[in-house]
Amino acid sequence: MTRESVRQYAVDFLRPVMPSERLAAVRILTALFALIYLAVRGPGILAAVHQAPHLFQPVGPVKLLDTPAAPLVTYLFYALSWVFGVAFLVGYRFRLTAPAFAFSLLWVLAYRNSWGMVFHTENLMMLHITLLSLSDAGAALSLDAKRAGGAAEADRRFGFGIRVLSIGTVTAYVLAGVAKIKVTGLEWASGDILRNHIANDNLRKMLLGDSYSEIGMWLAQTPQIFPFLAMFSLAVELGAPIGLFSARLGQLWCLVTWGFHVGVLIVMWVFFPYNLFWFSFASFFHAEKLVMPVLARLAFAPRASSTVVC
Amino acid sequence: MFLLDHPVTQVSLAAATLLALASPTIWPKERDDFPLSPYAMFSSRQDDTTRVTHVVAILEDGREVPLAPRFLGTDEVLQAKVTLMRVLKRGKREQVDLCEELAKKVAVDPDLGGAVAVEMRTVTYRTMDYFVDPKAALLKKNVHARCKVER
Repeated sequence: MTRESVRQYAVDFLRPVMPSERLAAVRILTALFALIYLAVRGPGILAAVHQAPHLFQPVGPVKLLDTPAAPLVTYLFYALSWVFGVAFLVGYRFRLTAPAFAFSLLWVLAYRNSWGMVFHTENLMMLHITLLSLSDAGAALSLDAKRAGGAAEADRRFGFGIRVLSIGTVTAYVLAGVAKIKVTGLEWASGDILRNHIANDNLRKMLLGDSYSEIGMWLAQTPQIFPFLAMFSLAVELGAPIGLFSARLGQLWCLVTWGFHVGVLIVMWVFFPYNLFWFSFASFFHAEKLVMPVLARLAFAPRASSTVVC
Repeated sequence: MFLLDHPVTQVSLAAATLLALASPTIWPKERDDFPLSPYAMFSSRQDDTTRVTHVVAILEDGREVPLAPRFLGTDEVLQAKVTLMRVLKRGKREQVDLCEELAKKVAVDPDLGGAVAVEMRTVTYRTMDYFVDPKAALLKKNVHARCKVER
């Protein structure tokens, strides 16, 4: 294998030629989820203004503050995240509005997470919005593209945008697996730690008057099953990079990982909506094939794609 | 060409973002953060007991109903837990204040019509035994505050 062929392989792996519509479709799906999330979680996000000041434990960019912000600041950032979020969704002045959306959303979520407990269900969505805001995801299926006279031709920069989203997804799972091995070594694979977590988490939720999983409580009394569940969890997390090596493997990993999240929901009553509704896996699929017909039906986009390169 | 479209800029920004993502694992911090997290949830060893500070409504017939997170002004159980831990740390006066505040809320709650008292306490259970016999699984109970529900 020559040096040139290795270089070409690396370029094709990291920056494959892909249609602008694919990255744009992922932008639309991710923005759609983020806006629905903002709407559904709105009351919880805005409730942060009523928290007692002594509970304030800033995270992320909110660490810039020593004391809680005035309620008006929270309302303002929430409103801005809606304005920029809609601009991000429709691809209006994307180069400006996308980073603005990423920052306003980051502030809103970080502020909500600054009261003693961090919600890990939001990390991956935030990562994807950040990566999309740095890409050229507004070059198709957008008002910017309409103004420019049409979608951009297929290019390596769109493939890179898609690739980085997938790498980001995979990295997040690998980090979760590494954390388990780092803290407890291979003991985690025995299943005892997972079993104790499931039993403890459900009992704690029950005692705190929250919803819990009766299946999880029942399952905790069957220790024999936990080595398999623990090894499956580690395989999904540490084996995630396999999903980067071919489209089929990527889609297979997404399916298995989705199953993992369904399992987490069933036995722990922990709901990861971004993953369970498949939005987190959009970059592993030809998302434009889902989004473009819908947009065409809504008369926002042409029925046929320009050049779709797989 | 826009600066962000240049391959070197794209690769650098993406690499920086991914490095930032991995940074809490490479250089651990004292506490969890957002959006950069060590993703350490469910990774630590747990002993076989569960210790929880919670608030229960005590009904006329002696049954106990744990108060849902909404009574503490949140829809998230973890946030409710943190609020209770903070109140616990801040001493007796705050514990009694919270208890009285919750008793007032319980008094007007249609689902808790039979409640006669509210109790804030810390309980420790043998986790696995709880699923067989909750009463026998109780190892320790420390009552911090108890207030009457007045209607």
